[in-house]
Amino acid sequence: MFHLSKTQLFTSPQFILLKGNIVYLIAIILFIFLGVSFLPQQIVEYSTIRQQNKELVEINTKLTHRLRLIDSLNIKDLNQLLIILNTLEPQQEDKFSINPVVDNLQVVTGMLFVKKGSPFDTHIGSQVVIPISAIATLDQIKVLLQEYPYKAARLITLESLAIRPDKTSPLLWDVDFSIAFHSNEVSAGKKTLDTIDPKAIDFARQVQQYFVSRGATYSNVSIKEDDIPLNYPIKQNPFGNN
Amino acid sequence: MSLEINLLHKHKTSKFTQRVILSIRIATVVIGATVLLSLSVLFYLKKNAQVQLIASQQYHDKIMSSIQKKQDIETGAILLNEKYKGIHTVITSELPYSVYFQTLFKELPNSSESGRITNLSMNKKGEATTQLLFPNILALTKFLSRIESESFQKQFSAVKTSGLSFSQEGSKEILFSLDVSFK
Repeated sequence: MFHLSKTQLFTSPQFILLKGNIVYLIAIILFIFLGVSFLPQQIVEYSTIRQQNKELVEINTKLTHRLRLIDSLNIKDLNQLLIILNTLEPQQEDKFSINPVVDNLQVVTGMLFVKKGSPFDTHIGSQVVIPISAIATLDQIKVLLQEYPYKAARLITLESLAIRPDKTSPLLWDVDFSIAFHSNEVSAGKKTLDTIDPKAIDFARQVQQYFVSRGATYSNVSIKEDDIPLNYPIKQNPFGNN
Repeated sequence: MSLEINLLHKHKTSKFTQRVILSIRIATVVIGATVLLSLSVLFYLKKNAQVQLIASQQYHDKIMSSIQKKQDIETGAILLNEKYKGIHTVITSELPYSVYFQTLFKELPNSSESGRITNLSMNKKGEATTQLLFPNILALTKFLSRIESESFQKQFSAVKTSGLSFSQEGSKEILFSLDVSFK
């Protein structure tokens, strides 16, 4: 019943209609295809590029801040401050440097050390602990308790303290105390410079000024990590004139 | 005024078909214009974004190169920060022995009349063990009443006596042990 001859098919109104609008049909199919497949792909690509750029801009902002921080530093000053902090808390313990520091503590406090332990005898973990027996006045003991943490040119903590009146004089006290010496190996590793702790610089400067006022000298060495002096030179008595 | 001749006059859906065709044409134009416009805008934006990305990349490379050249300064600054952090941790975790010491000498008697310290030791837990020598029972009683006072107790988190004895047989002097913990 639907069988049409070739002439009938080509002259049928439907065919004429189709023929007249074939361009529109092809165009709409093409546009829909573009809209469905090509357009989303372009949107995704554009978003990806935007995202990459956004991330890169954020990274660049941090890098700019990092570079400004680096540029704000004076290499010589930094070198000196690092040596100061590295002297207070060396990368690795140098037991031979401990006895001069104990002598420094005696000079700083004015106490009379009558007996002191050997750095090669006592350890608590990585710390070297030195027991000291001394004779001192109450004021000297107070100075010890205020000045011990770093003013003898090394970072020291107090492990114990015991005092009793000295039998020879009512003004003197027998003092037994233990001090621990700290070392700490730090490395830059893969860290990047986000901030410079102003307290670190202030603290190092404060210590530096204190050392300078006491006449201590420190050699200038490269700031490179490998070159940090582990066996830093220390005078027999850095606070003395000799 | 236009004159339309309906060639499909006899067809049942001629009007409907015309409307569909018209809709298809309009839809083609609208969709086509929208798609082409969108694509043009997207190409433009994408090109701009690519230019920006390249510029950012070049800036990144430049700044990284500058940082690389100053690597030793950066390493030094990082080490300074790390070193200070370690030192600061040690110093801040240290007990305020000086304050403890002054508190003890302020709160405990230290004269031949009121009693005096014969032994004092402090440890890292913030505890102090003291031994006091009192000339007589009256001086000890005075001190014991002082221990009860609020001003004395607010200095310490714990106060306990650990010993009481005469210093020697037949002596009036009394040895009194007092252990305190600081707040």
